[in-house]
Amino acid sequence: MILSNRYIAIIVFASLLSFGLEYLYFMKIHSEFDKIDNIDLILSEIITNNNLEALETRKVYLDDKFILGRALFHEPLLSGTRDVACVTCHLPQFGSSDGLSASIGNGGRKLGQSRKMENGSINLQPRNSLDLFNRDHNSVTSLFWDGSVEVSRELLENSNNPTFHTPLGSSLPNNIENLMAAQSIFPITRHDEMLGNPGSISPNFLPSEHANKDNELANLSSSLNYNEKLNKVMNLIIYRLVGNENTKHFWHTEYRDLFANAYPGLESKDITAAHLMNALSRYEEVAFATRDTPWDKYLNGDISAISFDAKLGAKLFYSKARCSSCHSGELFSDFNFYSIGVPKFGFGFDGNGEDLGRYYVTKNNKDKNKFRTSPLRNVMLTSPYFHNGSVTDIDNVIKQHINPYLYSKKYKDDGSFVLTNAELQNINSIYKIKLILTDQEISNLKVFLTSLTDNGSLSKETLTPNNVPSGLFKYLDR
Amino acid sequence: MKFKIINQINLRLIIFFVGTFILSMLISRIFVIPSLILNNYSERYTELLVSCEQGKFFNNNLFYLNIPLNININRNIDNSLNDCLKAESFKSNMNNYRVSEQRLSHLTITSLQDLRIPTLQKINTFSEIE
Repeated sequence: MILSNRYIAIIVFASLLSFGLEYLYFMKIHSEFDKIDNIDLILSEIITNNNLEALETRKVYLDDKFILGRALFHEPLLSGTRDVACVTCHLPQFGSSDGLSASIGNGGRKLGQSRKMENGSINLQPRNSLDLFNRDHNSVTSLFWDGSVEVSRELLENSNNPTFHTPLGSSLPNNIENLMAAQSIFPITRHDEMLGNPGSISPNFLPSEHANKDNELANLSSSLNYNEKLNKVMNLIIYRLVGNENTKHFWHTEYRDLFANAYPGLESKDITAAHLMNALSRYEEVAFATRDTPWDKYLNGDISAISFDAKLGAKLFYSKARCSSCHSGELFSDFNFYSIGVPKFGFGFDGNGEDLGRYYVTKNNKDKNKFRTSPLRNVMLTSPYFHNGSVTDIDNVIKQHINPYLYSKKYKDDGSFVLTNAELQNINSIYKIKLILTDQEISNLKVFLTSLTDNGSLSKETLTPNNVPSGLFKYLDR
Repeated sequence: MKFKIINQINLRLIIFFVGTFILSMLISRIFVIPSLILNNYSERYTELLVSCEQGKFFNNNLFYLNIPLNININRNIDNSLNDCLKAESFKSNMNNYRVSEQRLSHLTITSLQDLRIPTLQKINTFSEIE
């Protein structure tokens, strides 16, 4: 009898204990169901914890500097053979990129995805053309895939006049207004982008005043050092644009007026590379600003601005998927450098797809294969992705991020591994914590990234002039 | 000898305790928790399904009729379509906690037939749209 009482007590105690635990378990389930219905509550917590704020909407002034910058951005006279302009690789219809894996500058024909090298020659460009969205924002501390142009990090906090680190060092023209302006000299003066090769001539399909002209920019004496050459090239470009008192090309007068309007009181003989670079920057700053994305509206309190799927994606982005570890801030980038195991693709710097990224700037072995975190605003418009444009759809981009060791055990045709040991070692340590996302979760992330799109930022009427003073704009697509 | 008998009794009690604990946990996981989930969430799940179907209906029909809509109605339709995803999440959660498809569909049909359950009328009639 005593024994059976004990057993009854045990049954009661065990049952109470188990039901107590099950009650707690049910409470957990309860909160899971509640969260499905209240995703906005979870997101508001995320927004507070991460200090997320909508991108500031600034008033846009289409001033004379913008008009000059717009003409220059579309002006083939800035290239050695008068057939490439900035817009060649930064087209509005391709999200300010060009839709190609590796951009084709000098020696290319047509525009966008139809652009090919003339006469079947090889495209030597190693990298994907970067988009230009919001690059004037204060959080942008470096430009280009390897950050070869950057704001001096040491001085940034204490100085009103930040200094720029560029391959030109102290020879960067004076009076450069911002990072965007500082970078603009480099595409113009690179042989495979806009400068062209020594001995080349402009195409014969151009109007007679431009056809079959020597490329005086690329023909500069090889005895000049890099810095002297770049500055000399810029001076020759300014001469091409505005001439002097002895030259009478029809576009000279127009450019003199455009410069005079943009910089009141400036005489044509005083125009410098800095004036040109600052005007280009002004155009890019206004033309490629995103101001009206659904995500910004959501951050401003409009909870119906993004879909439920996008909200789930946002939750993943800032929690489980750990995207915000690097894609942080208003532009979704920390502007730091990481390797995520992207395999070699395209021509690269050695003809076999080799691109050591940040290493070329710092010469530090730890920086090999590291590239700058891409900002994500309008990311859905800027395919192909990665520094070598090796991936065309965002699903595979996300998959590469989830598993940067994706290619570690795959072989190339010659039997060697796709990723070398050195490349594997430099993969960012955050990826060492395994991450598994379902297809549904990847799809949610994709919908969230779509909510960062601001199609309205690319109004063709504002961005594109009908023509440029030289009349060469319409020949860009030949 | 006495010590050994006590130990044997204690061991039996412990095994009995563990067995009872596991058994009641199993009963809870297999029968109690799924029933609790069904009782608590089938109503909301049904609401979500109804709202989802409304959203789909208006979305399809208005698309083909090409009627210009004001922002509020568009948002209502979007919200209703979002309910499809919520319903899907509800369903997958229920399945995770061992609520069988059969029980779920049976209960949903019953709920839909039960007029006492108020359905969310996010979009009322065509007159509102006009």
